[in-house]
Amino acid sequence: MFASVRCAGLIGMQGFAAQVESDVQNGIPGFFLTGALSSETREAQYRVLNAIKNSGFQIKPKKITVNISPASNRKHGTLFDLPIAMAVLESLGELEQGACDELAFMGELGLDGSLKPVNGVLPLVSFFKKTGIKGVVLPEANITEAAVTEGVDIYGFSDLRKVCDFLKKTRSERTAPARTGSSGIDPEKNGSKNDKKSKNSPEKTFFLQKKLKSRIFRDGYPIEDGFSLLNPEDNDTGIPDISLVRGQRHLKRAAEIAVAGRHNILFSGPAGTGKTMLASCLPGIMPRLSREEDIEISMVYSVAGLLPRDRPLLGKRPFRAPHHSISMAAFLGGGMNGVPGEISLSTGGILFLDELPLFRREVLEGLREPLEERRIRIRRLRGTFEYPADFCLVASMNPCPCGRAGLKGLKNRCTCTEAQIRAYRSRLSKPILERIDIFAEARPLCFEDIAGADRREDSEEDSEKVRERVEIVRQIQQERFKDIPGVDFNGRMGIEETERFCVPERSAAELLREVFRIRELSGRTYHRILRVARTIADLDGKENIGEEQVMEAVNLRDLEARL
Amino acid sequence: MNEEKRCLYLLSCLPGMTNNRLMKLYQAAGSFAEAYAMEAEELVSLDGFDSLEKSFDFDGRKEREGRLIEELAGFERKGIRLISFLDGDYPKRLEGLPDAPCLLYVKGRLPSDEIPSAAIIGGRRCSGYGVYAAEHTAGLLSAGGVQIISGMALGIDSAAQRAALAGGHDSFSVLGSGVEVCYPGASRDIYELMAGGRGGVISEFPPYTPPEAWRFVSRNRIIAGLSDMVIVCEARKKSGTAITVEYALTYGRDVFAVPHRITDELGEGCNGLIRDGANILTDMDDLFSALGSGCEMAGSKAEKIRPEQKNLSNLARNEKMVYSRLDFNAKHIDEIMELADMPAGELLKALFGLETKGLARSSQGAYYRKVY
Repeated sequence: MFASVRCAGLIGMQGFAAQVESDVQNGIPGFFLTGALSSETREAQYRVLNAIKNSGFQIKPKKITVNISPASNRKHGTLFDLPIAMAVLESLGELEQGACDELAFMGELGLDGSLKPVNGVLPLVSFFKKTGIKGVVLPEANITEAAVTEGVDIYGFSDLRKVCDFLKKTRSERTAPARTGSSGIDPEKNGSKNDKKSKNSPEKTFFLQKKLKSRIFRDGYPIEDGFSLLNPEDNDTGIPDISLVRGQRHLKRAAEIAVAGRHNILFSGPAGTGKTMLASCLPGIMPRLSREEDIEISMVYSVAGLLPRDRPLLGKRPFRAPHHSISMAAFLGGGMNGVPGEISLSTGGILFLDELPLFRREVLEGLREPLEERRIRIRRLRGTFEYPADFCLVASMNPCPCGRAGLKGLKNRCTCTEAQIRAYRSRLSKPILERIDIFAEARPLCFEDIAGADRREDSEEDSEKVRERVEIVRQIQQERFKDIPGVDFNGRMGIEETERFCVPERSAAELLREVFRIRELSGRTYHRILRVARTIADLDGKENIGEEQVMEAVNLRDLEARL
Repeated sequence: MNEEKRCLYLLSCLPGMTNNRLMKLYQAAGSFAEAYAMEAEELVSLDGFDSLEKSFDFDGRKEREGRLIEELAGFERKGIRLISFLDGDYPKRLEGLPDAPCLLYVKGRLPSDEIPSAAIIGGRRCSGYGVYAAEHTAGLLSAGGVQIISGMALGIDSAAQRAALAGGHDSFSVLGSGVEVCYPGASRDIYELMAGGRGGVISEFPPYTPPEAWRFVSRNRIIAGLSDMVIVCEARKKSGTAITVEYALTYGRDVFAVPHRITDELGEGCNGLIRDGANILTDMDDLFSALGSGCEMAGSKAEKIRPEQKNLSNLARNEKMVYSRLDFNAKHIDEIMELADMPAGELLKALFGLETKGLARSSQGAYYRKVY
């Protein structure tokens, strides 16, 4: 007998529709699995057969052939276990023909028949929604992630047996609102009448789910408290508050400017001055995540298998700080199956490259395309994968290889030779430096900065205050760029936009001319200074770019000349 | 170029050859041409030349010779002159010194024998005070017609030479590498000026010799030798500066040291020199009178060493305030901001105003210091 079950595979973050076809014939008994499968997908044959047996079904000694079509697209991952099992069971006659219609399946099977979570649920469910599928059957642990996509019914199960029990029900029995089966009452009316007592009652849950535009089931029963499932508290934990960084006003101000206008920034300064600390605080001063942004970021994390299981979405701006020994593939994304790299995992947040000069040259060169286009295309033999890579680049470096140059006192003296320092600095390639708008110099900390005399402790702002200013600047920029596609922040302006939006006042223009003459700046830095000055003016609440803003922007580029 | 000098050049390029050995060879053979023509056995019979035998016996010597002669022709095109102690234009100051260099490579000019010369030296690691002392004395001395000699190193050396050159006067560098190698790279600006004729670049090593530690010790004796006086601006307890001072004392040159506070570790060497009997530098007059009659003084009376009060009347209020908060030593902008208590934009504008008026200088992106 022949059976076919719907599922989907992923190329990068892009879903493609797939069918698992199973055919049972007389012949020499055996199990054959085809369809351009990667090794972990091919292993499904052993998992599936054992899971079926251990769920209480008999497998007749027949020749079973399973094909996953389209057979030309490469499939990877373990999410095909469940659809294969369903197709086999249906073709063996254990399930009614057509029992799996209108549903899509995904999930990994254990040998005992248990369902285990898989990666990529978020993009896959939203793909199913696009293709018009009404319901998705998946592992229990993936329910929260799947429920983010509204308009698709989610059926989560803990094991294969329960899936089969569920599919043996008729269509109307499947979506029965309650465990107790109190189906006669209009749930909406009931829910609105008693509020507090029935908070967790099935009726109330059903009502909430209606509001969610999709229904969520666990092991065949509607989930209680589905609403709070999708709206957990903020996930800002783990991001240190910026007030923990003591002193360093110049550095903090530079970071605020960078974040507000999405300028790429390089911190320079001796070791132990709080560069890394400050960088890790920056997600906390970026504008709050909107739901759309959260979903976009979480898609990448879903494919990478890095989403927390207990929450539907990541819920915070990412902060990624890869070590400088990182490989090309881990940094940019790649591998046979095209997994997202660090640059994509930091999308919407901060990509922090500590000790920038120590990164491999080809790794840094690989940054050029994503910095320009804000996404990365990875070309592989099997196809091209595309991921977002819309991050704010924060890099840091020491003034010398030993990291002590600039520190006071003789004990901490820098021991580098001039040649070593030159070699260290020359590792920074010009094209990368050209994409960095802001250079900020950390100051060696004195005792008061760290131990915090009262006066200073009061003056440290917390992240929330800084974020308020950043949010305002973001609104200004949204208004400014509303008619210009592809530009959303000052740091992303091309030359055309820069000349349109960054006209300095007459006195400021003259001052700038003077600065260029005295400091012998190259013409290329002109537009970058203006872009940064624009953000500073936005932060200062100025409509036009004045002398102060120009001077501050110039200062934030001064260091470049010495690199 | 005569045969004698060519042979001297070829000899000096032999591996393992030192200035001392060249001198010995010359004395033993009577001339460099004869020394170069010597057979190996003959050479070994000379005292202390065992290790040189190999180089003299070297199979590819003829081939090597061809290449060296070719290079020699190239030097002329590059403006490099070879001056041996047999030549008439060999510096008078070096004549008669026990370890005078046999051969000098010069790009640009040699310091004139008629005009007084002073070496200004100090450590690579230095304070703003040391740099001030170097710049100020170099500026005043060169304005008074004194030739400034130093080693182009980071820190005090290059600060002094840069100040002399900036004042429109000449300066001379003695290098620990060949004259075609600009070391350190950060001194390229003054190297080009001096090599281009605003003074000169001098070395006893063949033009493309890379810098090595021992060569700097050797070049220090030439710095001391070429100067009438050595001024130590800033030196730690143990430093290369001490070697130069030692040579200077051997050669009978005046040694002046800039006094430092007892708390300054960077100035310990200077104070030590003063304790041991070096002249203390407190007044420009002392320098000029020590240099003696050959020195035409700038103006009728020698200038004072203390910074003169700058005219601050044309400064804006903010600029005055910021200026008063600056120091010899570079301060981070955070520190200045705290001291002056004004927002970053205004502060930077004031600092730039001071910079254009020549009163402040930014040393790294966020560091500023006072200019006197």
